Amino acid sequence: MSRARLSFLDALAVGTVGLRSRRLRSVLAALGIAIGIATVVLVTSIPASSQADLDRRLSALGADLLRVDPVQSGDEVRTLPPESQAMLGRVGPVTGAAVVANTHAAVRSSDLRPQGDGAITALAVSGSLDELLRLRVADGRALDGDVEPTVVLGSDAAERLGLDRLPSAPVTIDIGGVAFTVVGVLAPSPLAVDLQSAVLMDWEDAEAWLDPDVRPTVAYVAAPVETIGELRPVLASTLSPESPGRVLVSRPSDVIAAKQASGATFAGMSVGLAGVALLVGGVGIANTLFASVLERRREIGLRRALGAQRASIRTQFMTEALCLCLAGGALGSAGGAVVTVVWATSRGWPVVIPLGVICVGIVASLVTGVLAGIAPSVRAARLAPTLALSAE
Amino acid sequence: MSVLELDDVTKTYGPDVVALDRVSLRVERGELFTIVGRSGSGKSTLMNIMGTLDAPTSGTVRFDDQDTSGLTDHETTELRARSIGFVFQSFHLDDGQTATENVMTGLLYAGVPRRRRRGLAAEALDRVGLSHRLLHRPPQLSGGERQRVAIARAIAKDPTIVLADEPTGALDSRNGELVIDLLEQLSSEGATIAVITHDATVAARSPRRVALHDGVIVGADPVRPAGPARPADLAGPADLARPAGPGAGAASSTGEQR
Repeated sequence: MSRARLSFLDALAVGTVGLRSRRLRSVLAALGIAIGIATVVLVTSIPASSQADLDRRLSALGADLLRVDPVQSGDEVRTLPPESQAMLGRVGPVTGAAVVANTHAAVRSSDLRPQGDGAITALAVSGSLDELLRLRVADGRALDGDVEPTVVLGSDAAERLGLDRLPSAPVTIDIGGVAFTVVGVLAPSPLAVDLQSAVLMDWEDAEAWLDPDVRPTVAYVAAPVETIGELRPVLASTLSPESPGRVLVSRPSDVIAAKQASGATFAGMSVGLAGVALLVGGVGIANTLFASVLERRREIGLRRALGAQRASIRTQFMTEALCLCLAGGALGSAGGAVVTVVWATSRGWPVVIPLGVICVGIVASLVTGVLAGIAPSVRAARLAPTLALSAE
Repeated sequence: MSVLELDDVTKTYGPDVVALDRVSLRVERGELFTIVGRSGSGKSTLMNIMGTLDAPTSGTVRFDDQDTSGLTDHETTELRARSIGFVFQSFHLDDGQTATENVMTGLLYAGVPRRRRRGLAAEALDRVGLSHRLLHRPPQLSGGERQRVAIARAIAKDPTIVLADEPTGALDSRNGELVIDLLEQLSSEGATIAVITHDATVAARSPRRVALHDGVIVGADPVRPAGPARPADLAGPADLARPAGPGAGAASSTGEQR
């Protein structure tokens, strides 16, 4: 008995006859789809790899850190309570606290310079700031609480002062008229960008040499990540019981994450572009198939004479469209994955290729194949066998 | 017992073109039968109608005693798949496939299970004397061999009838003779074969011939012993051995044996 429908293997064999006999054209047609799918994979995998890198860095830096700032109002310069560090340290889940004070002292590279460098701030630090912010000394040593006036330089400040590499001989800078010996230079820290343009000194040194009544302007607190959410209001009411709104509690890692999130808008646009590329690829496939139907009218006529039902002819051309698109989808997915691997590896990112994206790419290529194949396959099936057989 | 019976079949294209005019003929099981006529005489239209590739404008076509006029496209396609083998002048082979694969295509739509196709194709190629060419592709074969592959494709499914449209038209005389030898041999083995040709030499080798001119049957040979003689039945072998001309007469369009 003849069958209206071809078996899967027969459909596959018949549907790839045209592809095998017109290889170059098939490859070019599939390339259109491949570019679209590769774009989809790239615009999702590269941001995903970048995000994974960020997550890794944030994880290394610590998402367990909160920063407390007094909310400024008008000309009044508000500070945090002098006992902030101790107050914060007493809050249940807090595992570490440190405070920083802006001494407002002018910083000059030499006492011979008439004015301070306004872009550099002199900060007094108290508590385990190094630990909390994962500060790392790039050159020299950290502050050690000695009685001499000593400072370490933030990375930007060091560059500005021309001291990014410390000379072998001791070097001093002038802070508020006092010569502070530079003992170290910090490595850049993404969690504390404002410290990079500052010189840091021990709290006691600031009190001894610059201002006996120095007051904290920023506090840092570390606590287990899962308690961070509930800790925020507690910290605010601890430091400002009467009006908690006077202090702002933020998480530095959120700022970096928000910056990264703005990149998602760009990724959205790229996905739109990928859609356009897919559409163009689909039109290319439909065009190729239409040309193929015209060229292969005699073959269609022969198959009808041999007993191919209209449905079998439709299946043949639809299979051809699907195979083209699927091959394009596979090629595009593989190409996109390879470029992602190369790109991510060259930047030291972890490689992340979301499996869902590959699935979406394959499904998108199949949908494109179906849409592109409908009209040509229906046209092929409608050809009258006698006309098809007599075609030149 | 007749395999195929056409009764008063007329085929027109638009109001002016009459491709076939009241053609009646009958093909008996196991016979080798030739329809001869010049280009434009309506031979191919007749073959298309006999092969259910086209439907007549009027008249009836009965295949194995079944009237095909009431069949849907699906049913006539199934009839072709199961019961009719075609051989074309230009072979219609896929150059990218081997001889075996080309023959297997003829079995694909006949519902032959995948695992049996290769064996049946090899068997058919053996019947046409091409058992040594199973894996050759058409460009590697001579014209005569290609036509034999096409014949193997037509007979592989063991059809009720083989319709061969100008099977020697694209071949030199030697290869043409070999193909006709093959068709005779297949006929002697029991196959029913209708050959459509413009070649008088080919027609002369057929046991029964019908001459077609301007869509009308103008002669049949041999004349059937039973039934009243009609003008077309009286056409002699000498007339049929050459292409029918305009003056061949068209009083009746009947070529059937009664």
